[in-house]
Amino acid sequence: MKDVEDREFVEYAESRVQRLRQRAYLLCRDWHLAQDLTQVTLAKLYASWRRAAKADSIDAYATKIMLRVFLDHKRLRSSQEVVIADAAADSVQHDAAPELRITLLEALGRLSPRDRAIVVLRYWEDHSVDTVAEMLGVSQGVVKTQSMRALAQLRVLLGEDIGLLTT
Amino acid sequence: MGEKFRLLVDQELAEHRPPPVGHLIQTAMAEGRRIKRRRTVRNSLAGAALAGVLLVATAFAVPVLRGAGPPAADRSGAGAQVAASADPSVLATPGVAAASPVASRPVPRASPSGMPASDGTGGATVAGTADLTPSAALLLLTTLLPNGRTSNYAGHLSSNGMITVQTYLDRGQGPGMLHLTLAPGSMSDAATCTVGEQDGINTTRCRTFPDGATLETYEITNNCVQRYGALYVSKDGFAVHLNTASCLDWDGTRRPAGQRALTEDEAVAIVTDPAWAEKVPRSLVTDGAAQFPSLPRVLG
Repeated sequence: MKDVEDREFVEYAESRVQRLRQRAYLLCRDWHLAQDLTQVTLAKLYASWRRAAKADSIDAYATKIMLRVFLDHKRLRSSQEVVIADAAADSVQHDAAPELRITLLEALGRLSPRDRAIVVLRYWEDHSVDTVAEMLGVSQGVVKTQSMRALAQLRVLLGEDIGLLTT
Repeated sequence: MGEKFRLLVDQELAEHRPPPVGHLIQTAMAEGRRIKRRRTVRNSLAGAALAGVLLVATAFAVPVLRGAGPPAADRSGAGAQVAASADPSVLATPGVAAASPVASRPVPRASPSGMPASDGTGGATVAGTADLTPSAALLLLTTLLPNGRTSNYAGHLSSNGMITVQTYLDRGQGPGMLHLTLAPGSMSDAATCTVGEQDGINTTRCRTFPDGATLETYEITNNCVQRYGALYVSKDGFAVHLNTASCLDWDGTRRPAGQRALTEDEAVAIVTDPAWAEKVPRSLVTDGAAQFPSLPRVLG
């Protein structure tokens, strides 16, 4: 029985590990941290595999685990986060030449961890407001408000390139 | 905007060269097994608590309150326990002890019952170490506690090698119950710990020490015996688990409300004390046996 479960888990993990790692990278903006976040997520998923396998969606279950680990990690280091984020935002030059503009991923990295998570889930993974709210354990109103705030911030950070986000 | 955003992000991601996945999945599975082991230990403790409640409920078909002395046939050594419970004493030890290596650790200066214990040289007169026993664990615990009146001692050694002891601690606000479980080699290495709520357990602190030992503190709102927990697992897998209850021992019909006897920091100081080990100074074992010659079983 255990072998069967292990095989099922390995099959699932192998099919999702790249995507999980990409999401982790979008959240962390560091490939090594992303590797760690993915590993912790899979470890917790493995530890709860019986329950996860019975869930409506294993992907949603894994997403919840990753978000919780990511946001807890960020919460513990929140004081450092704020300083770095503020400094980064202040350094943006809106009229900079195109080659000096920040990339979308860099802009994403300058959002607060929760805003970043919402943008990734809403616009990269295309989850509904309801689903994102459920995954994050917040109200739909919070997701909507933070989505708007995050987009506004991205527009500021990206300057003229915002057209890429609105069309 | 979703499609365009996704396209742009995917394009930028495609330009990255992430590190190889390597053994990520296999490592995650090994870590997952460790998480399950940790969970098993915690559940076994909760199970012991439940079993205790059931045991008491059964025992009270013959209505005897623990404080009034349970039948000797039910629990050996109950008489000594009753005496200790009825005559609690004030510990003469200072507040929560700081780190105290086993080798240099002072032997308790005063016993919980007020009887003279060791003069601090017991380790020198009775050389060597011995296996930790419930009475020694209880003696060490009461020594590490902040000032206060202790009572309602209990303790036992389970067949799986786990030692569980109990004491009340009254720091002037009324008694609070403490349960300490020592699980030798139950966890071979550290497990992942994440701050936050999961499965009804709110983990409040996670720490991994340089030597690989781990510390976790948590709260379980709906379990008054395990209301506040501190779990330390040494690099060798020796687990020291202290539960600060919000209720008292089963009184035959219910668990009366109790005081919280220790803060989180105080509980952490106790579980991380280096004196906890499978092998302890023989003097601690002999002193423990003298102080607590027979203990009733911890009922959870």
